[in-house]
Amino acid sequence: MSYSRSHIILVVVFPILALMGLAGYHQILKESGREVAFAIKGYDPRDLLSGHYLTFQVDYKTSQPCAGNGESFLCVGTSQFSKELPQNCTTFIRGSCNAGTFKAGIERFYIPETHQHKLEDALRDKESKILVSVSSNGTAQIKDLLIDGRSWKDF
Amino acid sequence: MASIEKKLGEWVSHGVISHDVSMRIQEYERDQPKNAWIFYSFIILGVAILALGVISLIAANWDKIPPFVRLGSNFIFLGAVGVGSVFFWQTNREIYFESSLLLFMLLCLGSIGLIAQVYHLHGETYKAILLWTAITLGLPFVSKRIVVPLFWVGALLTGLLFCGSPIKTQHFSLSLESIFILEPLLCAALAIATALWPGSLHLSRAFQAWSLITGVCALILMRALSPSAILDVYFLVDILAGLTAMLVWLLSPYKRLQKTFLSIALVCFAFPNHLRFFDISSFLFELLYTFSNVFYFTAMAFFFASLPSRRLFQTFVFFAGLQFFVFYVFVSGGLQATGISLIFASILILGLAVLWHRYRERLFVRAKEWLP
Repeated sequence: MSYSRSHIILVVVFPILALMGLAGYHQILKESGREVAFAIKGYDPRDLLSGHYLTFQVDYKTSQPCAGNGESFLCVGTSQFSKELPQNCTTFIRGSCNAGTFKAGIERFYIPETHQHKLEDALRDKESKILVSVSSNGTAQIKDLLIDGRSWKDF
Repeated sequence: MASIEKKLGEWVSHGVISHDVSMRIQEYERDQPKNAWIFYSFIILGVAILALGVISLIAANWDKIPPFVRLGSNFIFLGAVGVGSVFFWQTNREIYFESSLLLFMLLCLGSIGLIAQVYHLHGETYKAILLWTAITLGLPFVSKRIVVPLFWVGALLTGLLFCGSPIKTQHFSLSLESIFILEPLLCAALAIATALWPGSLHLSRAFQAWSLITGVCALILMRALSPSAILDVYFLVDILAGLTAMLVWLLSPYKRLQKTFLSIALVCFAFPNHLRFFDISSFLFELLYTFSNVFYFTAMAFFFASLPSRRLFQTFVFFAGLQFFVFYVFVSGGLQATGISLIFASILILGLAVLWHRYRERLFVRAKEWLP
C-alpha cells in the first residue's frame, strides 16, 4: 500500500495538534483552578537540584500520613486524606499514596540553570512555598515558586 | 572497488581473464549505483545530534523568554520540520524524507519535555515515552526505511518495560524482569500482525529485529534468575507464546517447515520457566536450560537459512555453540561440570564448523527449495 499526500499530512499534523492540545489543557488548568499555597521542604540540600529542577516535599499540614497505596485525595480545608472522593470539600487534591507519602505531581519545579545555586541557598534558608492551581476535579498544577512571599523571578 | 581491482589484477596475472575483460568489468562496476549507507548513516547521526541540541536548548530553560514564546517557537519549528517531511515525500527524496521524519519524531519528544518544563509537570518518564509513541504512531507506517520504525519500537518497548512495574493484582504482579521476558514474544506477535497491514513492511521488520534482540537478552536474563525463582508471569509467557504460534500458523506467509522451526523456537523459549516447578538440582537445571537454548538457537538458525539469510543463520549458529560455554560459566564448580560442558561445547563448535564448511552451499540450495 502506498500512502497518499493526505496520509503524510495527517501523520505529521496529528502529533502537533496533540501536543498543542496538551499545552492548552495545562494552560487552562493553570488559569482556571483555585489557588492554594503550600510550604515546601527539601529532601537534602545536596540533592535539592537534580538537573535543572528542584525536587521537594510538599508540607500539606496533615496530622497523619496517608494510609495504604494507590489513589488518594487530600481535602485542602480539613487537611485530611481519604481513599474516596471527599464529600463536602470545596478544594481537594487528587494524588497517590505510597508508603505514607502523598504525591500529586507537584513535587518538581523547573528552574533555569543559571539560578541553580541562588535558589538552592534560598530554599535552605528562607521560607519557601509553591503556589498551586487546583481544578474542580482535583488536578493540581504548580503556578509559581514563592520565596519569602515573592515569586522566585523577583527574588 | 579497490578489492575488485586487486582481484582482477590477480586474475589477469594468472591468465584467468584477459586484460580486456578486466577493463570491461571495472567499467561496469564503476557505473553501478554506490551503496548510500555511509551517507545515510551520517545523515541520521547528524539529525540525532541536531535533535539533541534542540532538546538541550529547551532544557536550558530560558527564563528571559516568556513561556508562550518558547512554546510558540517550538510548535513553529515542529511545523516547519513537518512541512519539510511532506515536501521531501512529494519530491521523492527518500533519505531527506526519512531524516526529517526522524527529526520530527525526536522533536515531538523534546516538545513533551518543554511542556513539562513550562507547566512544571512531574510525571513518570514511561508515561512521557508512551505518550510520545502514541502521538507518533503514524510515522513508522509511512516511513520508507527501517530507522524510524526501529526508534519507534525501541521507545515503545522502553515505555512498556517501565509501565508494567506498578501493576499489581491479587493474582500476580508484573516485575521489570517479567515484562522484559514478555517483550520478545510481544514483538514477534506484532511483527506478524503488522505484516498483514499493507504498507507497514518496515514496522514489521522493526518488530522482528527487536524480537530477536530482546529474545537473546531475555534468555540471558532468565538464566541469571535463580533456579528457584518462579517467574511471576510464567502463564503469560505461555499464553503469549501460544498466541504467537497461532499467528505464525494462521497468518504468516511462511512455508510449513519454516512455521515448524518458529514453533520449536517458541516452545524452547517458554520451556525453561517450567523447569523451575520441578525439584531438580541446579546442575540438571543448567544442563536442561542449555539444551533448551541450543534447540532455540538452532531452530532459529534453520529458519533463517530457509529465508535465506546467511548472516542471521551464522549469528544464531554461533549463539547455539556458545551455550555450552555459558553453561560452564554458570555451573563453574567441580571438574565434572567443567569437563562435560567443555567437551559438549568443543564437539558442538567443531561439528558445526565442519558441517558449515562442507555443507553450507547445499544447505542454502535445499533451503530455497522449502520456499514456494
